[in-house]
Amino acid sequence: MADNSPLVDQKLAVSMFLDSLMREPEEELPTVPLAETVPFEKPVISVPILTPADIAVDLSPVEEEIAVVPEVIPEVVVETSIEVVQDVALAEAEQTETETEIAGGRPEWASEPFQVMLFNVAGLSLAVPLVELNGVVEWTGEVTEMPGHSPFYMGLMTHLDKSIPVVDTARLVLPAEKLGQLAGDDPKERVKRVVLIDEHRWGLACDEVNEVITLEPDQVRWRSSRTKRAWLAGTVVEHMCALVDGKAFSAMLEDGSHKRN
Amino acid sequence: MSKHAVETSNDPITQWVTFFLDSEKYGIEVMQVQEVLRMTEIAPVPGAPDYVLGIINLRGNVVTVIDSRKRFGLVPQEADDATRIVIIEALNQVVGILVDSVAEVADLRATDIEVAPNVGNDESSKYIQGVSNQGEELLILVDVNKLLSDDQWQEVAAL
Repeated sequence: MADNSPLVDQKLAVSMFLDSLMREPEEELPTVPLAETVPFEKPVISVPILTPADIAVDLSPVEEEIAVVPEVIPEVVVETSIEVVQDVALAEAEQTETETEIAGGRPEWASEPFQVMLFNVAGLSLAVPLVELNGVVEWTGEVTEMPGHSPFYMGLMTHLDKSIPVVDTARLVLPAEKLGQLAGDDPKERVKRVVLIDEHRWGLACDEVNEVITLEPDQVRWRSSRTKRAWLAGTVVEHMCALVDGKAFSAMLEDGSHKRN
Repeated sequence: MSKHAVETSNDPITQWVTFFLDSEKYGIEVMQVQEVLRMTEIAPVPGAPDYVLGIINLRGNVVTVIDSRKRFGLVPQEADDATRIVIIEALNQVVGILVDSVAEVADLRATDIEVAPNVGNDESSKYIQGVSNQGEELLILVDVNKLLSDDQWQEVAAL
């Protein structure tokens, strides 16, 4: 019985974390000042219609009405502006994505049911689609540390005569406020397996590997914009996990954009 | 004989002076190494950047010694009998780099050298030219010209 409460706490924590992952990019949209769209000339044209009998009146009161008009019809203006903002955001996302995507931020492989493998890093469950998975190897601890490396870079692992850089996934996917829990932690002690992605180009160190499941595209809350955390394709609430986009993860490691996350 | 020559030209061999820092083995292209010295007294230079250990007198010439441990993000270590100063020529400057020990000269075929995977855009990883698998261990090949940034090389020249 006593074992139940930590489990509930953990589920709650994971749920909150997944929510926070999803929330952040959505908050970016309304930050575009709506006032910018107000210089909309049409209301000015419609103003004279309001005063057909007062044509002889001098211009100053009309000017006052012009000042008022934008407040009268903000809804029409706002609708137009939001469409524009979304278009811009989508266009931006399309430019930055490295792979073809279909509507709703879904990668191409998610157009029909797909299989993912679940794995754990520092208490967080991640899922990687099998189409982007190249293999899973035991962590032997035998890596060559490279000089002057970032804290998340564990070193080069030799696998099938190829040197593969292994990264501490936890340090890359946990948000800044959670990184504190890794203080004093030695990833070499924590890690048990390495998940290979992007044609064996990268190894993602993980605590444990779980089962393979099949997901319907509709089970995933897909992200529509990926200006931040490009590696996160979406979240699967049913399985309390974050869905990893392997290609985007690889691109992020290569261009150093993880530093902006 | 002619067949061998063709093979060699297709897969040229380069020689690398290998040394240890901590438990990792590094290599510098032999053409850039002038000589290897036993540990000698290094005179600190007041106001020098932190990656400069000091200067030594090499047969009447003043040579700046670079702290490779600091450069590679490793913790400092006391010099011992195996410690060596490798005198190199980089960008028309002669400098020394302090290493834990010198191992050997390794012959590497071009096909044995893998391009070092670029992890992020860490400044420090720019001086890693590649890696080569040597049986159980990996040899990290260092491009000494990029061991310091352009500004830092100028700083060293001005000492």
